[in-house]
Amino acid sequence: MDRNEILRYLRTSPGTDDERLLSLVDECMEEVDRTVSPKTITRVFDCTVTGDSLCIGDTVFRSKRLAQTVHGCDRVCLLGATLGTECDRLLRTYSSIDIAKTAVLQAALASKIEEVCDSVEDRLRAEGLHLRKRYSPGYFDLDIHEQTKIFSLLDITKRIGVTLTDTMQMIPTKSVTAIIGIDDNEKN
Amino acid sequence: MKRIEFFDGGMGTMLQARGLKAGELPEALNLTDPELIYSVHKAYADAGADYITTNTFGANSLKFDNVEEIVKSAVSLAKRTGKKAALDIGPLGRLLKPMGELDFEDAYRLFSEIVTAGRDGADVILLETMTDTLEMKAAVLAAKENSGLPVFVSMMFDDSRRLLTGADILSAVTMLEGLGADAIGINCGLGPEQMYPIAAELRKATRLPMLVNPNAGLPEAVNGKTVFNIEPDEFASWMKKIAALGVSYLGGCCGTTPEHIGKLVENCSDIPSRMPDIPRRTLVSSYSKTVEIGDEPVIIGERINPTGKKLMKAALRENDINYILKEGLAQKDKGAHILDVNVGLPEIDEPVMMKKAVFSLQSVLDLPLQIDTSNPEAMEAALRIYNGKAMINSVNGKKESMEAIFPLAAKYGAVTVCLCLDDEGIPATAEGRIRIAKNIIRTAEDYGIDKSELVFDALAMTVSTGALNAVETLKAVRLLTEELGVKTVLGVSNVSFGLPKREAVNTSFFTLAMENGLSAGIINPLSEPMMNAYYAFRALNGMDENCADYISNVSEQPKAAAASVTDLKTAIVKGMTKEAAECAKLMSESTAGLEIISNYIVPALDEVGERFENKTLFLPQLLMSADSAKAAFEAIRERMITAGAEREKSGKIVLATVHGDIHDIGKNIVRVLLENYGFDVIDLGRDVPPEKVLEAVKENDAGLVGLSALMTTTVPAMEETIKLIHRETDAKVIVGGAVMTKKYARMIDADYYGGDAMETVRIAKEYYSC
Repeated sequence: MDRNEILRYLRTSPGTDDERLLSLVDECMEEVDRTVSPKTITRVFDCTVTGDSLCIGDTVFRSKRLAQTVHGCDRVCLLGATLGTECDRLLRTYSSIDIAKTAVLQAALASKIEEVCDSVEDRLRAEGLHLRKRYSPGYFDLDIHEQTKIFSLLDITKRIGVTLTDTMQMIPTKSVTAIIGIDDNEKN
Repeated sequence: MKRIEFFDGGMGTMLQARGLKAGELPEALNLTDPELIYSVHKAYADAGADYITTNTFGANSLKFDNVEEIVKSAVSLAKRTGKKAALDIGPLGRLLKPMGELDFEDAYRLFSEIVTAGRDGADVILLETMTDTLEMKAAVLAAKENSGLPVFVSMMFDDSRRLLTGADILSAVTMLEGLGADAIGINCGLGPEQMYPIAAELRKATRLPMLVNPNAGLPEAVNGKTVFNIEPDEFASWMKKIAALGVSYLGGCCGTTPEHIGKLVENCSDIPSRMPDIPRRTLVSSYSKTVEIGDEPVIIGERINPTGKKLMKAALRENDINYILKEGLAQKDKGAHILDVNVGLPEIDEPVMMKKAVFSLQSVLDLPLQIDTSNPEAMEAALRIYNGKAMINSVNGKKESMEAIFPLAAKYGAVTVCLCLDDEGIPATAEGRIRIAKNIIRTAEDYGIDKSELVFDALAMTVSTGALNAVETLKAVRLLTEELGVKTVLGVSNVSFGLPKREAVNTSFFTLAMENGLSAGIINPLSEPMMNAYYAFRALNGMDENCADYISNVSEQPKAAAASVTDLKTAIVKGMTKEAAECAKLMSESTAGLEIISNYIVPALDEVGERFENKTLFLPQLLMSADSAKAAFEAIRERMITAGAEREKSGKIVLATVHGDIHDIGKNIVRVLLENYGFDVIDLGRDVPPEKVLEAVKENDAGLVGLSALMTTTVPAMEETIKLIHRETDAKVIVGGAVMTKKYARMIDADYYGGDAMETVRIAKEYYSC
């Protein structure tokens, strides 16, 4: 986790010299590392991309922006990641006794889930895959309801324990799904 | 010799091989292609399976509107093989509250539908791939209350040997044995090799018959398809090792085929079904951990109890759950192992409050709870939704007490505190109390409750009213331990009633009681002398290697550097919580509470608020100041209640995160700030249906409502709530949240838009000043 990123999430200047705040951020980073139990799942699928859609087998994701992002890819990687249920309990615990810490923890957890996703990408890259940018349901014109398709293709609920509400919110709340294009033609 | 019985293997994998696509619901095939399902069952039956699992893993009303039809067809297809049919029930795919959004009773209802549809024809109910203790509890209750069938519960542990929601093996077992599961097991997630050590640990933890159904190895993604990597021969040879641990049922899960099961039967059918004799232990559990009431004494925190506590009484009357949570967290922090929960006040609805307190405590704390009430309705309400195996406080030797409590303890599984008194009162002698204990043990047996599930309270009598009172109690503790072989508990502090320096008497009595075998003390963990006595006793009794616990808990806390500010206003502005509380407490000795608030606390908050709006300080700093102000209020509040000079609250505001929205941090921030400014906030929490908001507005006659929504998907619920409030009341609505904008707020007919927490405070102040 990056302290400056956490401060940015808190809309606080990274240049702050408020010792109390900085030590609270450090304390929260430690507590997050102690508490979370990240779980991830990835799966590579063959795909076809048109001008406004990405198709994996019979599943179609409709979005021009997504189609641009994975343009030219014959394969995509679907990613699911979560920090686990304890992170929500942590937030709930502190929100009854220490609201400042709750807000900082929230930012630290947001930074942590990004870190977990990044490290999955690093691993895939180390295995020789050339990856494009992560793209998630809810970005631009990819409707948030497309989330159900990723859940189904990855069997996310069973495999990493993330569930989806009727309103498309993921529980545990610190969870991410994404579609990542793979460049098979790119030479290094 | 009873042989091991065999379950079948994977259904999904077989169906995928026959053309089922990812995302298609296999349970629908029970109606659309029953012969296909039967052919899979038949293949497993031919391979030697004794139990055929119905194709109903995900057949619940969240996914289907014809559950009954699907389940009935599935049961008849399994029965057609001539083998025993196991009614298969998987997780609902939704998380229960507080982690998720599904109500316990809704989960119970969904499971009940499946049980009711499938009970005719099924031979057992198999709850499988379970990953959450609370969901399992709802499922077991649904199975037991709606059928007379044996209930097998199989869980999916990850490689850290925990369920998804945190339970370790012993905790899950403790709860399930208490609930009366008939067999317990593990399936899915892992192959037999990775499952072996988990099975070994489970075998040591449970007295029940055991079931092990692994996957055919670990899943690998090959060309976008999931494949499992263990062949039938290797599978069977691992299963033979697992069988040797002492199991009653073996089978397979994802990726296993009739060939796997065939080999399994071939390799293991001559291995006897075996159940090692595990000694009974006295265990209570929470959603994730277990506490043993055994040879080493444990601490039961007594502070969640309104008796003699003004602030707790006020909190209960005002429905202030946060106060109760704080008391709970503070006791955990000081080393309590179990928390007693008593919310009995004549003017409140105890069943409702008890359920709420237990639910809320369990959403933030992993300590087991002791439910303390004389109201059987409140007891059952709490035991039903309790996540784990609770303690009951208490039953006594009176017939009607045992008749009310033991059925609950037997049904839900609980360790029961038994008071050694009966219709004739408390016997003066130890022997008299032992006689009552014996009667309680006998009666409990009639309900199927073993004495290991009972903990006896020999009753501490006030020593100032009888010189031998303490002696008899201590003797009773010893006799209960040595002669009856039961565990004991004592509410310690009663002994010193009426004496000066009570702590001196309490600590000595506590030590003496532990020396006489006391298993658990109900004490105040915030009392340093009591906890010191506890740690010293453990160290002196060889229970604390290198005195490590003693040293880490009793060491002199480094005194905080003398507060650098003595000025309350500065402490709040700088967000120094401890200092703010200390300053406020000190000031309240000479200054009236209301004066402190208006001359120091409110000006400090104003200054911080202004600097936040000018962007010379930021959200976390604003919140640190808010926490400090809150600490200062609390420090002077007890004195104010005593003086009958409570701060007058300036206006009622109902707060809620709208229906379908589970993100509530923003709303919680707003709550803290509004409370700091003296508003009477009724916080309804998250995922609140419109009718609930309306109900609260009417009930409290609130003028303002604050609604929060994080995502576009929940804005319709916000709009609906606003419409309802406007139609039914004159209340005004402020909206906020990540997805909200001024324009959006106007579109959905909100009265105000709160861009951030301070803006909401400003709107509330303006609203209530005119």
